[in-house]
Amino acid sequence: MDHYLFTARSVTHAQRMAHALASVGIGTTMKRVSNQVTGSGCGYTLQVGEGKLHRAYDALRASDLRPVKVFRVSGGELREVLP
Amino acid sequence: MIYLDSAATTFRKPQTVRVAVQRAMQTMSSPGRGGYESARAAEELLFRTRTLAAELFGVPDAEHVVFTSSATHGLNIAIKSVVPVGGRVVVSPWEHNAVTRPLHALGAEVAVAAAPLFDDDSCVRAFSKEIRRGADAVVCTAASNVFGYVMPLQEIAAVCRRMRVPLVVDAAQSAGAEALDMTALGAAFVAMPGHKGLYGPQGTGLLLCGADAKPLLEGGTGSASLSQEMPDFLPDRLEAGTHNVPGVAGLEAGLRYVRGMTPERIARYERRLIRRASESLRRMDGVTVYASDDPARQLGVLSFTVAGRESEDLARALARRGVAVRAGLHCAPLAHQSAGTAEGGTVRLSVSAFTTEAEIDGFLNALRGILAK
Repeated sequence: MDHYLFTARSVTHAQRMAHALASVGIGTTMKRVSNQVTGSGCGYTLQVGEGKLHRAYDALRASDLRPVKVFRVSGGELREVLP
Repeated sequence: MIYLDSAATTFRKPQTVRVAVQRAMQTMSSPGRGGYESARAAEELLFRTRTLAAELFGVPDAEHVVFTSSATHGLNIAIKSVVPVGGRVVVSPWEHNAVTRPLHALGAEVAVAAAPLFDDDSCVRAFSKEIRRGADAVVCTAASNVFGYVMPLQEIAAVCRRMRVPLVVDAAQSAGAEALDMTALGAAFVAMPGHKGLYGPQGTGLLLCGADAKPLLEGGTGSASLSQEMPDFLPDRLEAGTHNVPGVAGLEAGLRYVRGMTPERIARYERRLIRRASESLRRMDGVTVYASDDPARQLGVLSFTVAGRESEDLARALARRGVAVRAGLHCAPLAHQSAGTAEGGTVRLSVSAFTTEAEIDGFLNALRGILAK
């Protein structure tokens, strides 16, 4: 299923983003990812469902918790997107 | 045993602390290192504990709460982050070696804001005077580990903010027994142990960060692993290596206990115990008590000396009667020099939320017995 990955700088950053999104009713799944996604080594991402990109990004920006990068995952392909 | 050495460590803990430590050892592995259940459980624990500490101590976000092994560890990070080699640093007269030794190692010029014990006005004036002479940083205890003196921290912090000098607070004795708001203080760093007034296990501590920090240790963080530099973001920048997960679990339980009780209630109770002790001690012949007339200026720590008696001898005699106190210089020679007690030190009793009035009376009876001989 298509979705978005919000990359975090650390597990704590990922947890803060997850809590901020949960507080506005956006459920996420936290996942460890490899260098292929982060570009800087091991890291953490939040999986955000299709159709929630802009609301999620705005909520994080309002909490001063922007993700490091955002990817769209579609058909197994990963593409960086700019919300 | 009548345990009156809570300023060293609160020996009696809430039952929940022991349970949490044991549960963590059975269910949690390394946080930030794996996607499996036990790693996730550890990650959640760390995040909950950071969030709890941030709420309790007025830290804007949980990422600025760093786990350390002790207040000493946190103070070393803080001091080495803000004090340049050979810099000028203003300290209170009541500092612990956890402050003065790192400053000595940096070759810092240490200016002591000299003022009498329990004299807030003189204390603030002395800080203002020394800061005006130029300072790279101010390092100040929130409460003396020897005398329990609660420093006028708000006023000292206001001077630091006005003069744009970073403030490092040693909250080793006050955390958990005195309300503290990092944001209101505008402090660069606040360091505290987990095993004293926060009722966690030994080997735990917190560093609250309000300024850029330099790592004391380098190593794995589970993040930005391709880079050979330490991450430039908190808390990872200061947390190399695997966390003390069982310790943090105990600390979380301790923090929950403190939050439930409230630092204000704990302080009120401890002050009542200290007043009970000091009033009786003052009636004993030859006993000098170092206590404030204003109970608000003193936490649950009290020092005394007895004319013609060595403090270590007294502590030994009390230990034989089942009373645990600490004598000597309490790792704070500067504090004893400032109070004029450096030669023989003092006998210190210190209480916690678990100390009872009956234990204070037991200590007093034991001391009366010793002095009667």
